[in-house]
Amino acid sequence: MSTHTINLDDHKELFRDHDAFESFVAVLRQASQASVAPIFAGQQLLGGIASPDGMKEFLSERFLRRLSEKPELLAEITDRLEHDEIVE
Amino acid sequence: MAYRLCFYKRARRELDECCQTYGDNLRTELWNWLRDIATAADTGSEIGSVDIIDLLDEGLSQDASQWSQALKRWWNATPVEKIKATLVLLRKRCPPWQARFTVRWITVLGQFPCEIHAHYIVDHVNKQVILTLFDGLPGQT
Repeated sequence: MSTHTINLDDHKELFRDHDAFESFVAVLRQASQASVAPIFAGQQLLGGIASPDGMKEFLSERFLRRLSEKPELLAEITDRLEHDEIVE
Repeated sequence: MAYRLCFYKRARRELDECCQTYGDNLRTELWNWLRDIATAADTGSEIGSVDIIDLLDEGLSQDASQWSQALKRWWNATPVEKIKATLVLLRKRCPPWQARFTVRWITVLGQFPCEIHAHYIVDHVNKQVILTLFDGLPGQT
C-alpha cells in the first residue's frame, strides 16, 4: 500500500488558535487508541487510522461477513481459477 | 518496481464495465488502487490485505467456541466441502503464490460511498498480481 505521512504541525494555520489545534490533536489521539478508526467528513469517508493487527482483524471480518452474505463467491473464485484465462 | 498487473478474464470484464459506466475519475482511482496493490506485492507489505488461505484454514481448524460472530455466520452459510475444495485448489499453487483479499472505500460521483473488495493472487515467481474477482464495484450486482 502507498504511504503518505501527514504532520498536523504543517496545518496549524487552519486552526483559529493553539487551543483549537490541541483539541483536534486530542480527538485524533483518542481515535488512534482503537484498532480501526474510520474518519468521515459528513457522509464522505476520508480514510482511517488502523494498527496492523486492527487492520488485519478488520479485513478478515469484511471477508468473512461478505462470504456469509454471499457464499457463492467462493465457488465463483474457484471457477475462475480453474477456467478463466489470464489477460492483461 | 511494482509487480505486473493481470486479471482473470471475468475480473477484467467487471473492471472495464464499471469504468465504462462511471468515467475517467473512477477509472483513475481504481487503477491507482490496483497499482498500490502491485507495489505492496513487490515490497512484501501485507498491512493492507489478508491471506485467504489463512482465513479458510482458521475456519476449519479453530474451536467453534472461539470463533468471531463473522466466522460463525460464514461457517453456517458455507458447506464444509466447498471450503475444503477451495483450500485444496489454493494450496496446489503455493508457495511462493499467495491468495489475498483487500478492501477500498471510494466515493462515486462525489456523493455515494462504496466499499469495493478485491480478491487476487500474488505470483512471486513471475512477479505479477492477478486480480481474481471484484465485489462491490459501482453498478455491480
